[in-house]
Amino acid sequence: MYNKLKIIYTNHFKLVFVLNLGLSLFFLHLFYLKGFGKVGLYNILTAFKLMGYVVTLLTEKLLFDRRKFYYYNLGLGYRKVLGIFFAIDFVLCAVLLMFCWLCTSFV
Amino acid sequence: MYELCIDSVDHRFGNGHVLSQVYLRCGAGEIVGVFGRNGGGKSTLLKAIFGSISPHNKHLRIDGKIIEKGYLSGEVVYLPQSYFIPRYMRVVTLVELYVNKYRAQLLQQEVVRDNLNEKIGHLSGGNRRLVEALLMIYSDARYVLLDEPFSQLSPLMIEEIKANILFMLPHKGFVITDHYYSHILQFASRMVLLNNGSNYHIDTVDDLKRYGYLPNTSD
Repeated sequence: MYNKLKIIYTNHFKLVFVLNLGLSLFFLHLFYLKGFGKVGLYNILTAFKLMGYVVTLLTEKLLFDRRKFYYYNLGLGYRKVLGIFFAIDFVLCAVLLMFCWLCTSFV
Repeated sequence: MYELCIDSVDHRFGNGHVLSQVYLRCGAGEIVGVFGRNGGGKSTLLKAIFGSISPHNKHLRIDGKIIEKGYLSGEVVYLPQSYFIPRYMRVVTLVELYVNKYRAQLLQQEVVRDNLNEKIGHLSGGNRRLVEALLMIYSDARYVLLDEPFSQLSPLMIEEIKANILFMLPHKGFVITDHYYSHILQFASRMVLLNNGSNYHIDTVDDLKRYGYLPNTSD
């Protein structure tokens, strides 16, 4: 299954991955400028990440609907394909944030 | 006993009852032909088995287990009427994705072997349809649902699909709908007609005339 997901992500989700990563990096830059103690910024980050995921889901469902049989025939549903994708993106965002916080703490 | 069985299928589009208490069974080693007029519910029935639509009521069992969506079991694949594989995918990647158990047999097929490094969108319409059908026929799933697999294909390609279905028949069960009824009459183990939302058992071409699928000519 992981091989299937790897092929799906590398073939169909490169642009979406870059856009979501871009959003994370933009917020990382904001945290770097404003400091990591601002609770409001974390809320805004979460809200924007969620909006990014909703837009990704809607784009996939509305514009690439025919692709559903391509996923289903692999035994994969949208929940699995997009759920794992969003989880990877969110964890990556959290890891980048922690890494940046650690770097600024020790500089 | 390996068997796909769906019963009590009820589905409506608006006020129209497309399927009403429909029943279908397909064992491994069987070809079940499904006939019906346009809008008669053939594709809807296949999609209900596959799980891409949720009918108002259904009871699906695959190899004795009750299943909600066929595709999630990994034992059912579905060839839709139109192309479903993104055009930029290479045939070699698709073989890696869909076919493990019977990969060696699939790679013996000329259309796959000769176009292995091609993008599927670069193939001619007929070859693209043939490759999609072969990927489903040789996939790891035990039950293959083919929705009008012969449409847009030349007679030679139709024969090629039939030969491949017969080759894989000992390992799999096939449910096929198509308006090229003569091909299905030739090689199906059992046949069913969907008419007025209900299913009827079909033995001969006369049954198709009796239930109004074919014109009832006297000669």
